[in-house]
Amino acid sequence: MKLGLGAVAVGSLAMVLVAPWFGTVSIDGWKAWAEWIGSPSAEWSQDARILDLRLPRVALAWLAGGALACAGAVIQTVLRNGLATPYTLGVASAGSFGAFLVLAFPSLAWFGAQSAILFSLTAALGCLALVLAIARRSQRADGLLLAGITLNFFFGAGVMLVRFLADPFRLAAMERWMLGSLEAVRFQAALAPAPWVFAGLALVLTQARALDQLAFDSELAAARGVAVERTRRLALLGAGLLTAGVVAFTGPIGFIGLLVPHAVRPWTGLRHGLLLPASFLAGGALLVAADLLARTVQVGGRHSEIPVGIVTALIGGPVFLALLLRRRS
Amino acid sequence: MGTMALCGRGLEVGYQGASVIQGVDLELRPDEMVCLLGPNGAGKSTLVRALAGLMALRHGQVHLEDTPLSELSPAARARRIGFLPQEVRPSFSFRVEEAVALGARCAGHGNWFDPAAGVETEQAVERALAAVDASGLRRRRLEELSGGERRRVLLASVLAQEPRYLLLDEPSAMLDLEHQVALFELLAKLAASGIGVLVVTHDLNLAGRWADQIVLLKEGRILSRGRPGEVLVREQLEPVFGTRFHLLPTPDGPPAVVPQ
Repeated sequence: MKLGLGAVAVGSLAMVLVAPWFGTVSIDGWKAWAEWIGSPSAEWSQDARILDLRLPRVALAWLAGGALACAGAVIQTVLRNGLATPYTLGVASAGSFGAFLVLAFPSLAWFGAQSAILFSLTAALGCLALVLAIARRSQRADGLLLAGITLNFFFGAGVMLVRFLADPFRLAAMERWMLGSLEAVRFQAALAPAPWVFAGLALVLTQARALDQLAFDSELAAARGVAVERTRRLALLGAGLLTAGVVAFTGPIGFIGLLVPHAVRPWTGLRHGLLLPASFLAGGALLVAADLLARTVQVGGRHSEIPVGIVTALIGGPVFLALLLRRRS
Repeated sequence: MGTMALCGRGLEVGYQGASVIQGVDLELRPDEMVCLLGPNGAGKSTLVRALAGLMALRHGQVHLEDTPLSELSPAARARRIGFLPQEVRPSFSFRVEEAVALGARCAGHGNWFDPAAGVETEQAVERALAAVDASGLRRRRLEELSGGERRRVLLASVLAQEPRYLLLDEPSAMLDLEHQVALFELLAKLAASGIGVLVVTHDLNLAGRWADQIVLLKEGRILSRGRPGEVLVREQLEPVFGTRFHLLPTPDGPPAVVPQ
């Protein structure tokens, strides 16, 4: 089972190495990497410069995909429901609502170009605080699930209200945001979600052993010394940070958080010490691959840069169905 | 103090309103099997959960040997007391060995960074599965097992904690007669090997055949306790269960109890 984690790590690294070789133009990958690592940027060939342009985007995709997949694995365990996703708790809807406020009403852009991101983060973290308050009161996993669905509807309504009130000329930008985007031209922008992602990741990893017991049975877990309520709250906080941190920067990219934990579990088993890192690595690789497809696929004879959220849903849907059907048989 | 036992004194436990358990004293020594019986709603599950340290006590105290249970860390408690709830509902598809390993790891085996600990976990899993005669089920998935196999595996998962006291809430429910007998034989063997076993059951005859002590609980109070021969008499049973019984002599033990 630890071999499974090793294999996923190698695959994930390979995807990050190879993905920037392809795009509207292909480059000589090994040479470009050698120059990018070994030479000062003034001496780079065309290939190395293209590699340098593509890397931030790959880094952002890897970070976002990893965070969403890992958050999905945690949420599925805490809610005891294999159909739960990082978005089940309403955090992403709240994040969209926050971003939409700025996109619809530019007078709210108090912090310049970063305003949409900051509003989105604030709204998502506010929603997370609500979820945690509800978790404190609700003893049962299904109560939390229903609360999450309710919050989703609530912020969904907020999103629709903002769209309704917005100037029609601004709708296109909002529409585009909802489809998810990994555009990042500088490493600074690509790594902006990193503090959120690593804080969330560290938090959920400290709960890995308790989550193992919780996935089996909560009463048995309590008898085995797990502080069940505390574990649930810390795990939700961690998953919420992973989700909020990513959604604010990329928009709500779907399916990674649902699909990846299911795909990884047969390889790693149910030990969260393996499942969570493996989900992160596999999720990162998958979103890098989806973005590669989005960047390179040709529609009507030209490169069209399909929004990556569409690609993940188009690929993820059938793959998830196949996983479900294979398990039945 | 100085007793070698899991010991509840003056226990009062409730949920929101009225107390479910009132003024109960119960002692479980690490070499005996005690069967807890009583009608539905008598408070059997609540009492067992209280002894496992899972309930807030309104009055009284549970002692694990010389230490109040409330002063032990949850992990230290889990290494000494194994509790199997009435129902266990895994939310994902576990292999038998994974389920049993969860018990072994909570006993302190299986530190992630220590390769030797992995071997220890393996050995604890093997011992526990062998104890319940389920070694052959190792690679199977929990949801593929029959009711009896599943119960045995769950018991193995608690045994892998290597507890000194074992608290089981209706472990024989949904088992056929053969597996009920096998389970009680196993529990009696565990008690003989130095583990205190407390079993909630509805079966007076299985309790009579294997228990060292029987405790009858009704409406949160203990109405009767003692050796099977002392408790399985009409004057003790009828007020508890509210029905009339025939007691039929058996060749090698306490009488068989049959409702009239």
